[in-house]
Amino acid sequence: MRRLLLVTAALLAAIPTLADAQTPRPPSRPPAARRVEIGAGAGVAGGVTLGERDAALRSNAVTPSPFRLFSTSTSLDSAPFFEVRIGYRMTPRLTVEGTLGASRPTLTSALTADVENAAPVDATTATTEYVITGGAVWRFSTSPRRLTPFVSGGAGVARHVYDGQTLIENGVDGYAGGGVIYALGASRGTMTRYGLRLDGRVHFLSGGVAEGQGVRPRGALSGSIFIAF
Amino acid sequence: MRRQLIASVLTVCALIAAATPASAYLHLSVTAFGGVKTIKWARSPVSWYSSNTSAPGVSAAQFQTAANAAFGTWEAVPSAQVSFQFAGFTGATPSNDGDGLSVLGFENHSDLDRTLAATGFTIDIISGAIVESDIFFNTAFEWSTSGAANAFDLQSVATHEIGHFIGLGHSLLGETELQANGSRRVLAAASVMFPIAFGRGVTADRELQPDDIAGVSSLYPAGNFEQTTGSIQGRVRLGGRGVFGAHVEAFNLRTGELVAAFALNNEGEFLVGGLAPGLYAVRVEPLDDASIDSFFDAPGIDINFRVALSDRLVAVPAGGSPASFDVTVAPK
Repeated sequence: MRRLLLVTAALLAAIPTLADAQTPRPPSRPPAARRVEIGAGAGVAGGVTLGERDAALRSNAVTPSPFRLFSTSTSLDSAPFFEVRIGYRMTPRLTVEGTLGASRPTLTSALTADVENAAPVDATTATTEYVITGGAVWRFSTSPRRLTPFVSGGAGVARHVYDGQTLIENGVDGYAGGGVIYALGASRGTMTRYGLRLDGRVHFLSGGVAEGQGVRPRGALSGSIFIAF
Repeated sequence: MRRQLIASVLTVCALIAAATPASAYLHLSVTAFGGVKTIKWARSPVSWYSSNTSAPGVSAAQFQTAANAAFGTWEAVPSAQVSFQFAGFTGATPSNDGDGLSVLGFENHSDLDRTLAATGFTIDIISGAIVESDIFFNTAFEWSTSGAANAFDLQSVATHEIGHFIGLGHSLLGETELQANGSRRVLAAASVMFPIAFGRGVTADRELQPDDIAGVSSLYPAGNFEQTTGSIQGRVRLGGRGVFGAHVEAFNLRTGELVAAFALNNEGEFLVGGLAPGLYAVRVEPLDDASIDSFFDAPGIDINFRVALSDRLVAVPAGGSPASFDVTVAPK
């Protein structure tokens, strides 16, 4: 009996001690930042004009001038694309990321105004475009709101592989844009956060299929899903 | 001692005076013993002599200077390996075939009222090697070395004839219009090797065009020409059959260069070579801007079809060729 009382006393003595430890509660802290983000998505890249040029002969004159055989107007058509992305959150606002995109746009040249009245045609060839870029995303907010706007920018390499893989041309692709991130929440039992991201960008293509045409802009819209952990 | 058959070949490749343009390159060839041999010089430098004759307004020395400049133009093509050596003035004339001397000079051929100049050959018909080549410039026409408005430019015409001298045929890269007298007037051309000369006072053919450069480079390739250029191959079809003699023009969308060739068999198969890598549009036309016999001595050249633009852009790689494709044309 005496032994039982002693045990009970020890328990009672212990309980106040535990209660005291909870009294000075530390300030609440944000959940640990999820540093790595991976995403995948799809979108549509707008077309890009690649210039007009006449197939020209030299006229029969003391000072020859171009004599048009036929005219060409060339463009890279609009096409859907797919992309994967990996990012690293440097600060709550700044993320650096790398993106790999691929698409199958058609290159079209309208052939018109033939000097011997050949019927106009749209001459085409299929291309595969790979774009690898590095860039940064700046969030306008660090609060855990569901909708977070951001701006982004970056640059990389655009590789164009023509039908049959007989000809490959490389260019530079720069972009600037923005969008919103829609946080869907954290997975139960893990530290993972996931969400949706909508991007609008203007790409500036130089070289590659646009070789000799200077810098050619084109728009792109995409949506992706991401996971951060 | 090597067995060798020498044949004097008729004068080919006259340059017609009645102004009109042409395009595309052909290599000259000779058929013997059942085989076709492309003719070319086997060794460089090729020695040439300048005739010591003159023409009104052009001395023998001025002639030699202009001819030498024309040889230099071909020699300067970086992707080709052919060179020439002036061996001196001679009393021999270009008409002296088989004398072992390649002579350029003036001659009077007033009976050839549409021929400014012409090139003749002596060829080893076993190997196709050129043994001798002579060029006459017809004094029935007025000549100038300074671009005088009332005379044909000697250096321009010499550049064309020297193209033959080294084995190039005519190109059809040009457009002409029919004159009332049945001759054709050149409207424009994109090859020095077009068979009809530009008009008096025009010196444009002193400078080679991409079609000419592709032609000489494929005949005498230098360095890595074959590794750095590509080709387009295919067939021209009309109603399910090939079109023999169709002229196929390849236009580089980026550089604006035009290079052309002919469909050279009954299947209508063509190969346009010596192309810089890039994207090309393709145009097919009949051989109707110059006389057929200034290109071919074979029968059956089909010109009864309409000009057509291919609906396919062709990506030409360095050192290769994309898959063959068909261009379908419609009858006239």
